[in-house]
Amino acid sequence: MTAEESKPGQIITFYSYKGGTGRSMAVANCGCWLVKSYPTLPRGVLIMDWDLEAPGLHRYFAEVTERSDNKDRPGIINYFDALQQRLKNDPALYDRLDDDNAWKVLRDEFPLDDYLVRNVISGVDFIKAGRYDAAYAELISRFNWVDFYNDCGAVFPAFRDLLLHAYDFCLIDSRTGFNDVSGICTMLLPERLVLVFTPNLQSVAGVLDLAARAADYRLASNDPRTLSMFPLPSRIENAEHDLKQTWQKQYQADFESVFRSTSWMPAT
Amino acid sequence: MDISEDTERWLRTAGYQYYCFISYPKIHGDIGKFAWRVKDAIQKQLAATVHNPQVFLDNTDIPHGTDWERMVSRSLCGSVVMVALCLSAYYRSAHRWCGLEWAAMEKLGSKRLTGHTLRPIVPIMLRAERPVPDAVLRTQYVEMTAASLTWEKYCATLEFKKSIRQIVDYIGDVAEAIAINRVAAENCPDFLVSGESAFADWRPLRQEFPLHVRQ
Repeated sequence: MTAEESKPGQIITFYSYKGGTGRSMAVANCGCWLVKSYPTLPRGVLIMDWDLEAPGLHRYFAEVTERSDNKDRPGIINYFDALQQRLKNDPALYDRLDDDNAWKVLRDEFPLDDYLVRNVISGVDFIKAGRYDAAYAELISRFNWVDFYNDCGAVFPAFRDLLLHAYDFCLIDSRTGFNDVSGICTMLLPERLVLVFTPNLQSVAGVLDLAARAADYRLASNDPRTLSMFPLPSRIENAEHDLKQTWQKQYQADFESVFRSTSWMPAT
Repeated sequence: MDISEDTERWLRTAGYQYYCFISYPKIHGDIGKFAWRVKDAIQKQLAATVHNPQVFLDNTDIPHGTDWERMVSRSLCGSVVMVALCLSAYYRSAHRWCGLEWAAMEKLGSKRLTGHTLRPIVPIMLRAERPVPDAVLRTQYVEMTAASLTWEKYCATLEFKKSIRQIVDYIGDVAEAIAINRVAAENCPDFLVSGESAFADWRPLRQEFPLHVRQ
């Protein structure tokens, strides 16, 4: 049995409703921590920058990502754009994707290799948001994820399964807010969702709303995986002890209330 | 309904080895563990009124090296009720055995429960996804949708315990009805689950794009 045929890995998405939470840094640190803590992982860790509108995760690994052999390497948006073109020209390929083993078709016909920045640190591969050239902005505004999903929806479970079989852990740095890309990152791909928030009302309310929607979406989904959620408070001011305590009590109660209402945490 | 001593005795002599058969799709370890928790909970609840009740689960009740198809077929035939853990994988052709078990149990039930409105299958709905096959929709189901987000943790909830009590009551109703009809579990060693899946016509629907804001 090859490593990729053994137990599937996990996809973990880091999401924040607003920017400036330290989410990308948490993703980068988590990737490094995983390979340090589990040095014998057979397939390793993949980090993906899905913050297509404001990519920046590559800067944490600049020594490798800015190297001449990686600088112009394509990323996520280029992968899906090329895949969309290929499926338009080869409809028979799509028929083969509507199947439980679709990830193998994707692996063989449309592998990730050309898009991977290998070993940004030992054991961690990275996929950038895209190739940051003159065409990047135009490409991300032109690419219509909803149309692509409606025309070629089977691509997404196949892509998800490809990641699960290729890596032990796949960490996704999601786009913020409520939009097409954050929907893919928080609802279609992960089985673990880290909800990063700063102690302010907008930030907390945003992740709570997203958490409820993601739980509802998974419950109505044919994706059989669970969706575990982990609240991650960030940028806490330790000097303000009383204020910190008050906030902690408040957001804990808010999260518990949402988790109960979404059946995620039924009464015991 | 509690199972009376007479019924218990009759079921044993009439070839009913199991009160319940757990049917589920082998998609990941979580559902396997959950199936075991359902088996264990039903068995414990039944033990309040029945001596040493048996519930069949393939993972724990088929010894290594035995003929899997024959054992599953024989055990299904020797079961009073089948509990089906339903989510879309259960209906998919990749898990065709689930549909075969369902069809076989419906057939057995039509003979055993003549004259009763009871059915021999209790679906546990683990997801709110659509569509649900007609065969499942026709049957009163137990809802445990919250289980599929938390699996084992869900088994500690009041909701789970309440649902298990409902299932065990239903097993009691079916057991009493079979005993009244006096239909034995005959020829189970030769019984083979085969033919067409109960879900052969079922096709999955694609879920709407997430967070799609219509223009």
